[in-house]
Amino acid sequence: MTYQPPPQAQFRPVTARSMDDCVPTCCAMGADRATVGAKVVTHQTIRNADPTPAPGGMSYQDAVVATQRATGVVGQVRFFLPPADTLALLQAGHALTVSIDTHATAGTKYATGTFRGGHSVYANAAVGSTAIVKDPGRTTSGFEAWPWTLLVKAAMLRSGQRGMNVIVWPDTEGVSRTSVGGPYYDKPYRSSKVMGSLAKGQKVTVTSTFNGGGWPNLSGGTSMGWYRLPGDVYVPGSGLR
Amino acid sequence: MTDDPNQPTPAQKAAAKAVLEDPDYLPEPDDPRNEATRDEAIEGDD
Repeated sequence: MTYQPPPQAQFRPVTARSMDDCVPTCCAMGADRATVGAKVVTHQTIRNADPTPAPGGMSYQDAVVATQRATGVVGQVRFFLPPADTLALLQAGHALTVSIDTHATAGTKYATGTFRGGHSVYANAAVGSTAIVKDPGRTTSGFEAWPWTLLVKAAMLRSGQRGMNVIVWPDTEGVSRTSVGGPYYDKPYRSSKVMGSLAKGQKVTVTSTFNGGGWPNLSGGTSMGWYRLPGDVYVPGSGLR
Repeated sequence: MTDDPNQPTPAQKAAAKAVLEDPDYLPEPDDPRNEATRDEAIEGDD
């Protein structure tokens, strides 16, 4: 199981740059996922951290810099990945921002309205033969199960069949994290029994991440990301870094 | 390490690590592929 951040859209909030903000929106979801809800920002915050402000869309390398500035989360750009290698990243626990051409999704239920051209989507995980995708250009839709073959087709069309261009977000499954100091629980909600406390700086192994009960995040909202640790104890996303 | 059958296996972890470390996929200085990732403007759908 993998934590799934709330879906975000480039027209939520509406800003002067919304039309061009598919990449920043995908990066905002990538940062949320990578921190299991601890770092929650919108496309506007990512855009405002652009290292080379200019009209139009944000490049992937600029987006990685902007996201790190805004959230501390470090994405990695990779170009011309073979589809099998891209799938390996998702299967291992990484989320991805994926560069696509929406001519490939036109006429399907995954189409970005009537838009035809270069776009980016956020892939949170792979489940069987599908990718769990949020299209930032579709404001009211949530995450959808795209056929993996469709995501590949759209990405390959964008690159002229030379591979998939992506931003790889940090792995959250089966990884080591550091405690910021705080309680761990017997169930993934704060009203459950406190089983003990982790010391600040204590290294822990994360078994998995998932969506549990709400907790207040630093952005003034509520996050639902939880870490599961060995022994079936749980820490909210804010508890580890 | 994990006891969840849906969690990544060590082999999957190793495969991903190999992909990330493969120099063939790394960006190059002034990589033209980076400019190709700038997306086009879309209209709102609300």
